[in-house]
Amino acid sequence: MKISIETIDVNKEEEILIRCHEVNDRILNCVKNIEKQNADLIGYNGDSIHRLQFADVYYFEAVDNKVFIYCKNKVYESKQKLYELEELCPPKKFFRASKSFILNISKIDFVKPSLSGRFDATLDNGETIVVSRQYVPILKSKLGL
Amino acid sequence: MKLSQVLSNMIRNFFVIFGIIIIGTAILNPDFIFTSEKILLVTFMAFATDCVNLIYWSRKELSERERNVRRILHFILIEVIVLTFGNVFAICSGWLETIIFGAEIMVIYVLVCVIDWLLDRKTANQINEKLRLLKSENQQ
Repeated sequence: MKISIETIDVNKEEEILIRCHEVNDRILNCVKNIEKQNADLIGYNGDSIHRLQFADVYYFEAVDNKVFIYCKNKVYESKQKLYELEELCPPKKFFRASKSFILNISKIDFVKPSLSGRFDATLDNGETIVVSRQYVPILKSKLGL
Repeated sequence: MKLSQVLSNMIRNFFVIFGIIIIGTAILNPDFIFTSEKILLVTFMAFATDCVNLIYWSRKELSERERNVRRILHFILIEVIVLTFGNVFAICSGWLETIIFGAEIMVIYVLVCVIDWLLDRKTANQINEKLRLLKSENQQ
């Protein structure tokens, strides 16, 4: 497949145009991947709306039907559901740690087993998040173990 | 964990428990004769022991305290079931033997928990090693 990139004037709107013989699964996958790259993570903090980078997120937490985005020093609310965020997250960098948490793997400092039969993940900022036993194999596979 | 997953794990565990009791008895007590009544009793015991695992199931995420409380309850129920069937199968009789048998079950339970924890620590070490590697790669 030929790939062309054309530089345009800053005043013009950027766009991606795919010219294909038919819209097959491969094309749809490309579109999905591009959409993921462009996906915005919007966080609400009071009346202000913030555009966030996934790389800055430590974890997502669902509490009482609300979803919160935890960055290093700030917490934002998200209007998306946890499972929607799970689909949006870069798959290699985030993983579902329990029913109500999605963790950024790169922010994990270390993990240790707890006596309750689960794992505790300590993050760069010193916070500790519980990782359910059933999700540990997912973390292992994402780390290539 | 979804309830359907819990149930499928329970079905698997039921056959594992049932198999271990039958094979364990055949190896440790070759003279024991399995009548259809005894096989039925073993089936009940395996089922009852298996059902106790439902204690860990919850719709919401359990806190550390809730999980520890459930673990204690799990242990108590396992003790009650095994001691009851121990008396039915005449493995133990009388207070003293029941107490000794109960202590043995407790030791086995603690041992299983310790082995579980050691395996988890090994897994955690593997994960930590990989995390360290990833971080050093990102820094370069």
